[in-house]
Amino acid sequence: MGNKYKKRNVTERYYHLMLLPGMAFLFLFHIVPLGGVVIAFQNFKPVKGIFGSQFVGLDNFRRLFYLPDFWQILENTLLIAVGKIGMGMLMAVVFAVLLNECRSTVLKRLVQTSVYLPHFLSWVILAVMFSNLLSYGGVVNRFLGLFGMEPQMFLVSNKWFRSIAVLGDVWKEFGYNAVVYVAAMTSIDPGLYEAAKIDGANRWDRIWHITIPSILPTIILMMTLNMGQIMNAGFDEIFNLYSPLVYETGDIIDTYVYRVGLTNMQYSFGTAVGLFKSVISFILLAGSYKLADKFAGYRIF
Amino acid sequence: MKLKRIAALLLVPCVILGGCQSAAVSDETENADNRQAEETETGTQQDGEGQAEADSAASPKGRYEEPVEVSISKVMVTNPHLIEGQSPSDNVVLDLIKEDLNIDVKIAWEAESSEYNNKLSLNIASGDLPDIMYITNYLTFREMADNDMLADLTDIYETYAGDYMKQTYATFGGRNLEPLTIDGKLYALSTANIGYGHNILWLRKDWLDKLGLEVPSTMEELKHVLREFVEKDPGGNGPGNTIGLAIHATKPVAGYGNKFGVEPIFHSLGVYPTQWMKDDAGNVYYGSIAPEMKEGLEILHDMYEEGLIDRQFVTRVGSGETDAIVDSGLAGAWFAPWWGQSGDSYINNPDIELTVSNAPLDGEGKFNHLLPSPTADLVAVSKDCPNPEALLKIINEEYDIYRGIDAEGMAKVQPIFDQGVSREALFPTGGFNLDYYDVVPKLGKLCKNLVETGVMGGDETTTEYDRWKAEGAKRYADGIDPSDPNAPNTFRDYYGRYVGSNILDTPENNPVDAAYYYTTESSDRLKPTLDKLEEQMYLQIITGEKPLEYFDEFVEQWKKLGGDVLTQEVQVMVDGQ
Amino acid sequence: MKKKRKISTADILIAFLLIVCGLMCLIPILNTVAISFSDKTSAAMGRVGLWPINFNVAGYRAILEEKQFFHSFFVSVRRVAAGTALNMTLTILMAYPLSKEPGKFRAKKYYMWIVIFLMMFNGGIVPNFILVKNLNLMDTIWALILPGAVPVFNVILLMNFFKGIPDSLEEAAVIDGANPLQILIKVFLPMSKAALATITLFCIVNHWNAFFDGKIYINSLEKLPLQTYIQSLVVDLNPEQMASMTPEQMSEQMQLSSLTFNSAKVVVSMLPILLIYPFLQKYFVTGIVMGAVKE
Repeated sequence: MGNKYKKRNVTERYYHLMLLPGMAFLFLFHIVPLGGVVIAFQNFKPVKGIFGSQFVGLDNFRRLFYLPDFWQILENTLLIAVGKIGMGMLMAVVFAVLLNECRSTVLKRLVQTSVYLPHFLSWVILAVMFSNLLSYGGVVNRFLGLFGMEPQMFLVSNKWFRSIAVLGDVWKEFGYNAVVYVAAMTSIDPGLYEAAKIDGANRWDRIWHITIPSILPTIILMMTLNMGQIMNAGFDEIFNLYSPLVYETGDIIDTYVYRVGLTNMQYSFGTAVGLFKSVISFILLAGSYKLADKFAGYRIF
Repeated sequence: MKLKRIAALLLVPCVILGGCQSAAVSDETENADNRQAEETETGTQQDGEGQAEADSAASPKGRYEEPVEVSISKVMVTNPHLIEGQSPSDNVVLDLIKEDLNIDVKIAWEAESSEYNNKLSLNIASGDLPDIMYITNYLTFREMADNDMLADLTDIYETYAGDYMKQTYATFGGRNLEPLTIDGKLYALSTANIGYGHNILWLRKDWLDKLGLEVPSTMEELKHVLREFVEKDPGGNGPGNTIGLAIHATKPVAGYGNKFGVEPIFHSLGVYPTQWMKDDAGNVYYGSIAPEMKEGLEILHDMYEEGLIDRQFVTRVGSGETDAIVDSGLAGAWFAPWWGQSGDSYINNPDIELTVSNAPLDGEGKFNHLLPSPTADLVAVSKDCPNPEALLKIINEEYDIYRGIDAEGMAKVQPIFDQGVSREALFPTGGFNLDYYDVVPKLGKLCKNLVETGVMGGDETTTEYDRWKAEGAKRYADGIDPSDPNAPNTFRDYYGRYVGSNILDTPENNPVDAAYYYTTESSDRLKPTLDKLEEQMYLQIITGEKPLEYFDEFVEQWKKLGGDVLTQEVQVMVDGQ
Repeated sequence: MKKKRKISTADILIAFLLIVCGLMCLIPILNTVAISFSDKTSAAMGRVGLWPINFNVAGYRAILEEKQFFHSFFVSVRRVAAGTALNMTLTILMAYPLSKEPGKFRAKKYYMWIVIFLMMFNGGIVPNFILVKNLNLMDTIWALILPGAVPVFNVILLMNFFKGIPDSLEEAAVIDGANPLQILIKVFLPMSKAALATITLFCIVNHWNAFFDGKIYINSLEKLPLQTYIQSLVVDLNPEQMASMTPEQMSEQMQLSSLTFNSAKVVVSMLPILLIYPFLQKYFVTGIVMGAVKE
């Protein structure tokens, strides 16, 4: 007994040692800079430094709520993020079902290879591609022209920008997001389909009554996990696609923090906005994990 | 117990992050000590043997006896065309500086231009500044000066500025140092914001000739020419592909010298968008909200509707793609400064011919245009730098070799520049530039003389560089073989220096001075929102996304969102002057 | 039963929809490739579709002449190599102890909370900059590698994967007298090829695609990673900067923004991903699934 206890201690010591290098990096590069959030409560002047700047309490946060821009930005962030999550999941599920129904392995493989690909390309590169495609005389406008639509200036139009941001992200990620559903479907017992066929169920019935219910837990799980992402509308995408022309509809919290916090040297205000976002996100994330645990029985740890 | 541990955990980051601040402080004291030590050292030196030597070190190009190291931050050149052995941190210019001045220049950091001010702010925040810094933002400069971070250059400028620097600065009539002088102390030097860089109208002369059209002067004539261009397609670009007037995609209306901007149309109506102006009663107002703006916007919207302006201009990224349109011969006209022609348009079509016009004229036959801001990018020295005069010495050296005052140095450097290596990448002060305020029209006259009479004129201020440019223009005028690698450059010399530069100083020109060129206290807080509102307004009204009446709404919003506050602040500054 | 069934309309429709999905993802890439091989004018006019117009390789020739592109390319390659190696080492070392049941590793809960907390909060750009500067990492490749040394998301992925490996294997090794490090290397790693391949792919892609840290932490042109370099070429110029530029500089800048040239750069910068991805793709479905959706 005592020997076993000692052995457990030795093993745990190994565990601590294995965690040490990673934790050291996390401490240095994540925890240490966290000390810097104090500038959110200061009127930080670069020349005075963190220790010389004046403390202003919650002034920066108060200013945030009085700023007309802020509500616009919050709205943009939420609309774009919710659009991405909703559309993204829908597209991923539909695609996974289609893939599951496809009987040609060759076609399956080819299609999978091409739809996963955009996930691995950077927004710097995709922004160049999109601006080519979506330009006034670009491929998209010419395609829509075939149906008699007026050409649109997608990337600089406040009417279109949010939709483009959502569709762009859905386009980039739907294949990748479909992976979990594809996998969930592989574990469906083929016998169920056979039985349904004998009962005379058509294909649509089978999708609706077997496939979808079988992956429903996964869908619910992904939905809950995505709750934590609601304040994340995607800095890289917006930063590379937007222009002053579409700040009205395209500016999100992260781009705003960058532009105002650094470009205009309002460090404290920028940090306050960032902190606001982190706190809300953390609450949402913690909440959604609790929900995932409760409804889907999923525990991350 | 537990609480204590948490407190300790929270404190650690503060200590590590704070380290830099206290380090900066101790650096400062150390530096002060050093300076004192140095002063006593030079003091003893002067007492002792080296009187003459000390004197020579205290002259514009005096060589330090002991090696002096200075660190510099500068704007990154993203396409420097470097050749073997030449890099921003190790190159022939730095070698000459070491050789002639005994200064070791270290590049502390570089940042691309759009990122530069951010990085400077970050470096300020981190409490560690290079000895010499390039500053791209006047407000950053003011903040640094107000917080006592910069060295006083007043006496240093008097003692160490070279002849060339003093001569060129003199042509600004003190206008360029005024905003850099705070409480009687000079804290920075301004790059020469040379004059005559306003937009003029550029046209395809070959197209005009083909259609038998006159060079336009008035707005109506301009529209007529554009209409003909678009309808008759003289360049053979195919139906619907010819663009009348190419304009800037994101900033069709900005400030001074905005290539592809359409400001001259507004100026011809006596209104100066994006500028602080003064009315007859001495009241400051913002040009962009003047009632006359509406007329200009209407003209532009009508031109857009009629197809005289590039219908797709809004989708061209920045000005880069607008340039591609002009270079590929699709556009018939554009507004740009005297340098608004590129070698690429010649490479694409060696038969291209251009002409320029002071158009559109106002009702009285005058071509109104703005004067440039007295200052542009700055260089300043950190207060902690023990040898602030090194900046002046470096600048003297750079310009002696660049302008051929030091012929031997120029002989070493020029062959490298001739291979296309960017000067800014090699010069430690990067984009800092010294020149005569009126250098453009002056050089224009030199070129005109040479091209039209075959005689190189000039006076004592004429440099090698000037003669080289004039010879380029002459070579082009005499007919250069398009396959000559220098042909595109001579094309630019000819059209920029000869054609473009000779209409800048003519009697119909009417330069107008704005009331105020700088930022004020609330600018950094209010201006971004206002600028955004304004930029959007131009694009929305020109493209018809919003009706012309939206302008009134814009004015109201502009005032409400802080425009009134800024106007008041500027008024105070102007009244105080 | 498994005989060939006849192909129904629904099958055709499904195949058609799948092909549409596949093409949708390829068209932007093909369009960019086509532009990169077209002439400047056609590209600027937006005439290029999926096939080059006036086929030429001027854009690629320009890249070959531009040394900086290659400098940046190799900076990125080095970054990927060193960064991925460090990421993988730390990920594996952290994922293993964290995959243990709380009963076997009592402090696990605290570690997990720290990790989760850090996923959400960061101090912002100023403190990070000061830190990197004080550590003397500025303008080195380490400034791009060390701050993100622990990819938290990947740690969780691998941790969940490890949880799926049967305890009996570990117990057998313990009886043989193996210590945890030996168990990790000899038992767990060989069984986790799919997950490791997936995470490696993620790390490679992550490092290759990052552009923002290069903007902040790199101080000289020759050290800029590729995506940062490309990004700096695409940003537009503001008039204030243009006003202070010499004509020579202006034309340089304009030269850079040719659509053909930029597209060629984009194509070349995609190549490494396009080359690596098919080899790792077959693992990554298994890898993600095992890591993310644990029963």
